[in-house]
Amino acid sequence: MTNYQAETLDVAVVGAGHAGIEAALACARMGLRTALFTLTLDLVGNMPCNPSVGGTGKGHLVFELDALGGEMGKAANAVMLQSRMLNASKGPAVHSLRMQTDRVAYRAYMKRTLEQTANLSLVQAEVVGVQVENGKVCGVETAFGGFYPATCVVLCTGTSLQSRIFVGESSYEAGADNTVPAKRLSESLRKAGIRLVRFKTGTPPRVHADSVDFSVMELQEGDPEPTLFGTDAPAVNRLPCYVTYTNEETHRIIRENLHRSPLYSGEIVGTGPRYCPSIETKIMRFPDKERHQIFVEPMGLDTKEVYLQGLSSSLPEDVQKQLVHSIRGLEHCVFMRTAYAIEYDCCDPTQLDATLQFRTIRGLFGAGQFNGTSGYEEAAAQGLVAGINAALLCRGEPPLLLSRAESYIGTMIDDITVKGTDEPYRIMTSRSEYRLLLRQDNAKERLIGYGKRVGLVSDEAYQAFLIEDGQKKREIERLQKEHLPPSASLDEMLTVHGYAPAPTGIGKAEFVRRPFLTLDDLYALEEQPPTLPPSVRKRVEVELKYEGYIKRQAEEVKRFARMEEKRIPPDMDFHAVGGLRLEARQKLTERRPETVGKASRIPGVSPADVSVLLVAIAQYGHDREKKGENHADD
Amino acid sequence: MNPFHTVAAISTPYGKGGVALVRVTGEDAIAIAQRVAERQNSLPLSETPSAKAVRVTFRDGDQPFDDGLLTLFRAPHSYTGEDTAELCCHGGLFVTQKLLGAVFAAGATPAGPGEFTRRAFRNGKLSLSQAEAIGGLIDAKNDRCLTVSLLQSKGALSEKLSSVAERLRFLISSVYAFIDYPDEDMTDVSVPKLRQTLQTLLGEVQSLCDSYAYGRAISEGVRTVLVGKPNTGKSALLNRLAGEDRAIVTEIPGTTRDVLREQVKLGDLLLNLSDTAGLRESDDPVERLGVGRSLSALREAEAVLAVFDGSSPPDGQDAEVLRQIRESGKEKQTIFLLNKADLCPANGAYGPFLPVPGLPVSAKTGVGMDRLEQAVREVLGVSPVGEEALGEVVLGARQYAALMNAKRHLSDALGALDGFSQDVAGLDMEQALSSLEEIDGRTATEEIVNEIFSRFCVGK
Repeated sequence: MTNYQAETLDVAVVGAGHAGIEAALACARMGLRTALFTLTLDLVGNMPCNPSVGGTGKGHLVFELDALGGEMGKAANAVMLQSRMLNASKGPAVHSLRMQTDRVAYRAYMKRTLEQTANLSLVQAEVVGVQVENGKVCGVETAFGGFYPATCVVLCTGTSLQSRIFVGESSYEAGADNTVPAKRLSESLRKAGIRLVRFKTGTPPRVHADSVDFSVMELQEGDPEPTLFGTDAPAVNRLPCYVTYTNEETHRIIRENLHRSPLYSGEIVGTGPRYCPSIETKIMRFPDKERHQIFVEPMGLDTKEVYLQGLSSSLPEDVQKQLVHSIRGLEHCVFMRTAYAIEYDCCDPTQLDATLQFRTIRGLFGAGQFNGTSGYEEAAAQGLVAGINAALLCRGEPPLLLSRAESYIGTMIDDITVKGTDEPYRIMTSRSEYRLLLRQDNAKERLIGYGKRVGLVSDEAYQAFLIEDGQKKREIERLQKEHLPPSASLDEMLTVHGYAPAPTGIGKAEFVRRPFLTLDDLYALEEQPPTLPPSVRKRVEVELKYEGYIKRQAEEVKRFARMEEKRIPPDMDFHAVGGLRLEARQKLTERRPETVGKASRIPGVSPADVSVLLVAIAQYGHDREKKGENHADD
Repeated sequence: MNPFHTVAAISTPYGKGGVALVRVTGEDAIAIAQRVAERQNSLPLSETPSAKAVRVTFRDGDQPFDDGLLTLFRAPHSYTGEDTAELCCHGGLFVTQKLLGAVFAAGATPAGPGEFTRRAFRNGKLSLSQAEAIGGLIDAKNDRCLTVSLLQSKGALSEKLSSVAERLRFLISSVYAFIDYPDEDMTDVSVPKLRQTLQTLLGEVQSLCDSYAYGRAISEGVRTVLVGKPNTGKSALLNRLAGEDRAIVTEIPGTTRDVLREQVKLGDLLLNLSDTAGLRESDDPVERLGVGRSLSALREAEAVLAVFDGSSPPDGQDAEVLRQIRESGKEKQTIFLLNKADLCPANGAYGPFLPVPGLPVSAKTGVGMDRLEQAVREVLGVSPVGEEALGEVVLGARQYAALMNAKRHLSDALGALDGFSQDVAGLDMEQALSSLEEIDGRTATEEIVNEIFSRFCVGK
């Protein structure tokens, strides 16, 4: 086939899933000529798995993405069906917003948004090659023979690369939701020197709502006062979810048919995620557990399909039907989509730097499942960071580097690029060592400045943030200064919550700091409490209550920064450093960490290696100085 | 300085002995050994197998001066993890010094204190607590301490700490599984259960902390001060404990004008004894200076031996001594000794005078000295440790500090579970874990994530 020279681009984004959308929007909004390539324009922003956005850790990512000027939070807010704040009783650091969303409406919202964005063209075409010359990306080639010269390319291929679907004994080449697989790009990437690995994931069945007996299931309503991502705007829950359970009969069916699962017969070679195991894996790994929870979630307002969270499987269809029908409320349910496992190519993310650019190929970025992660939110957050950095590279501006200490996004990127991952990576609150500082409620405080700097946050939005930030600071100051006089109502409030009465009154800040009292309790006692937006009230309360812990973590961040700032000379020869263990030499040479902090997080680098490295760096600097002196003598 | 340069030191005790060992370690160890030692069968030294002693002749330049044995340990299979040569020559100051001199002339530099062990730690051959235990072995001042060090170098304390850390990690993963998977029904995670396990762990960390009183008493020694009015026999008592004439004992009150320090053994405890000038007002400027020092020694003491002349009734000076002890806040740490029990075995006059009954002793005859050990243990709160638990005695100050940190964070975690919330409790537990793991120089987060997946059935 003869190739033709197509439009010249600043940035080509490959794939229009959650990562690709954010990358393309960021680049176009930052003023760069951008094209977004997709295998099918009808599935832009598709949710091939859960019809939901957010969750533990994931909610944090969406708040952060929203603060940086990303789109996912706004889209989810617009098509929200149910909103729940998870972990509401487990402390503010781990409050996590999760929304059920209308997946069809979500796609329409995203497609519309992309179409209305200046500088952005949507192209339905399979990208079959990435051209790289002299360690620099030059453009992409489509199956139709178009060569699009581009300064930067962002790969957001999701599960499409060389993908294969498995249902029991049958398997075929296909992407998620039976899309066409991208069969040629992997080869081109390998030729460019990129190391690909094979990962696996899966999704549960969807059944017809009219065939489900919801009356025997537990009802799971949204929060009485539902909230949204990054805004205090009012919200309404539209549809509930339901909960049911597997039972001994379900487990028996699975055990007896296990040999028919490609996961157990050895046909699937890809590595699956531990945090969303298939139902057969759960039953085999946790034989003592008598039942497993199944959530029945709506797929949208305009559809009867419901999603059976907890029943991801690669068993044959007949077994799936048997086992689902053994579950209370699902006895007569009608299958619409069969559960399947999917295997796909992705890159080993340790080849990327903190901007998500390949260290050896300038201008080539990766984001989302292509980088070995899992989840819409993880993908979107990376797409945004990769897009911003591609745009900054085109503009010749310094990159946006988010650290572990200031964001979950930075934590995730550091985890995958420094530690690497041998399974699809999911964010979790336990992955952050600074989680009391990285809360949903202060995401804007932490990150909106970056969004403003790169041009993704409007002046109005930034001004609105500054006003709220001022309100928060003034309210905290006020509470620290003012005293609540003694009164019968104060004593009653205190005794109701198990505290001793306060005959001389109590400082207002001290009142709020008490574990079992809230800011609203205080306002109930004040004659003229201020009227503040809910998000500001929340920040005031959290910052007062957790002041001590927040300060302590801030100290740790400072210690962390010292190791992060200790730079490793870029030309340092780790093989020449005596005392480093062989594994450490190899890992350090391969990953080339920029700082001692990063080196210390690479698996296979021991604390003893780090101390050797510190000595070697000091020695290196010393030698340099000496050489410098010698030159001066010449 | 290149951290891998070759160093050498005499590794056997200084002085006369049958044989002596010079150890050379570092990147040039084998080359240096080759310059000073020649195999008696004329084979090249570089072909000597590892960990096998061969006969050699030691030379200084061209001049042979001794025959001996040489053993090569090639990296990483050596104590330090680096190339190491052990040169064994005939003992005696002269030959040994000459060999060491030859090794230095061939390119090695003197090893710093503890350098071999430090290198072993740096090269990943020893965990930090093992390294410290080896330090303890070398410095071991008595048999008990040696046993503890030996057990620790085999990893007994490491094992104990690992067991605590492992259970703590298990607990943390429960908390995070609970937090990260709020929709899963995790029947095996409950706050009362968490609290109970935390209490148990806290108890174990507490008893490790408590063992440090004993550990320190047998390794570093207890700061002990002898006080009393002049001429009650403090110096004689010191001599009795030390077993030699250390202090000048005269009949003239105030003979001891300065603080004399001596490390003495009392059972398996080590006492770092300061014999002070008598605590009394004096016009003699030299003696006054001594008295000032005595007071500051008293304030820093962990145990005080207050000596009285049991052969005569207490007087105003004795009362002054008591007052000073009280003022320094050391009354509870004080053992009241009624010396000269050989002259007067029981002096009733001290009964109402002293806050607790005095202990009759005689520095001259040794009467009552056996009861002193028990009294010191009581004052220090050190109970004898059984053989089986000896490996779990904390000897080092750093280990102790890390354990105290862990203890504090564990108590915080308990408090957080009660009043605050699980996110904070989890954080406190993580800090406790990293304090514990600091002892062994490891870090934990990824392990917790792994633990969550291996133990809990979570996911979609």
